[in-house]
Amino acid sequence: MAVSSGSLGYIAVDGAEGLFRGAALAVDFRGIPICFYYTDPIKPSRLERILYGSALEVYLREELILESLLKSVEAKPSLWICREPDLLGPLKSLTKGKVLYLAQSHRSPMDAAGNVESSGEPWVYLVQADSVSAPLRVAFPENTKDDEVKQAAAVLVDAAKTMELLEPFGRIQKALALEEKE
Amino acid sequence: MITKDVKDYFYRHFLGVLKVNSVSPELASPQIFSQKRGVEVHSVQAGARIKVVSASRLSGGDMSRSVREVKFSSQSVKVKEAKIKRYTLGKALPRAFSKLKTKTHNGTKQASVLPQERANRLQWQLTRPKKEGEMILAWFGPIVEDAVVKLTLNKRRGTLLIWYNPQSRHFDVKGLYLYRRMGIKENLEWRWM
Repeated sequence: MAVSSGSLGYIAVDGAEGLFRGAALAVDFRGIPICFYYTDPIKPSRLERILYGSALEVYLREELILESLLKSVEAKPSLWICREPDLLGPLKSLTKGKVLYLAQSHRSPMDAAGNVESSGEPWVYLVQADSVSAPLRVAFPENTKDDEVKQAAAVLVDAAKTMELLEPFGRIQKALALEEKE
Repeated sequence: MITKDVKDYFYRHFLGVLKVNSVSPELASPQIFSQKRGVEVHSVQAGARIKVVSASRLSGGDMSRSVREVKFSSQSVKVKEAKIKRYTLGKALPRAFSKLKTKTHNGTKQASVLPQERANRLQWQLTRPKKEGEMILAWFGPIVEDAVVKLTLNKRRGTLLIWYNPQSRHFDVKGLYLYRRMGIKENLEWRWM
């Protein structure tokens, strides 16, 4: 029996069809939920869309939803993971911790779990988190140092031993869909 | 019938009397009309039914018209009847513009009963346990076997749904193979590895 104290925080903010909502799920390294918070959906009125203008989406996603969620989550995950690259900056400044964007890549697997390669884009890497999947595409906030990249990759590799790293995003979607039905 | 002239003639000859009519030199005073205009005030009856002819669809130059009323072609328009309501000035209520807000809810209980979903990762398995008379169909992992409460194969999506015991302290992982034993009874079987 081995015990791991690490945890991952997953953040999803959705703004499809003018309806904005977000959710945060913190899980242990087995994917078991530690806490889950979600926001009420926000549908800005026509007047609000006019008054806020182009700043509306940024305000809703980054300030209102993200900030509310992070204030609510009591856990302090080893990594915060988002699936929208534009949330990296605000997530970094709000959490002051390690944050990254995670997505599946279509590249063939690298030699061994733990391998990290630059994708060619600044602060975007390919990380082979385990030996049973394609490398993950991992983006970091601007000016992230190499050491921080290595540390974050090590956390991903550690967690991938006991869980599927992208799976919690699917559960967030299911939880929000269930909440919407109720 | 005796005319007036014949009557006068007989009056003069037999009676010596002549009827004299006086004519007043004064002209009749003219009728005076004031130029001041009066205004008739009628109150609008709120309950009065007034026929309103409205055209919901106009087809073009097919309309005949008279001075007092407009007639539309019955084929091109629908005529509706409605009450005219008194228009009263309403009070404009000032609406304060408040900043957009959202509320955060704790959904940890709901999230903890949702299963985790594992995709079939057999394609990434380089080494597979081979046994005669068996065909491996899928590999699901990593799974913490000792923490599992329930496993269900989602046949439609080809995925495995896993319910873990949130109180479990186990972290040892295994993989779960799904294979078919070849033979008369081709049963599906599971094997932890």
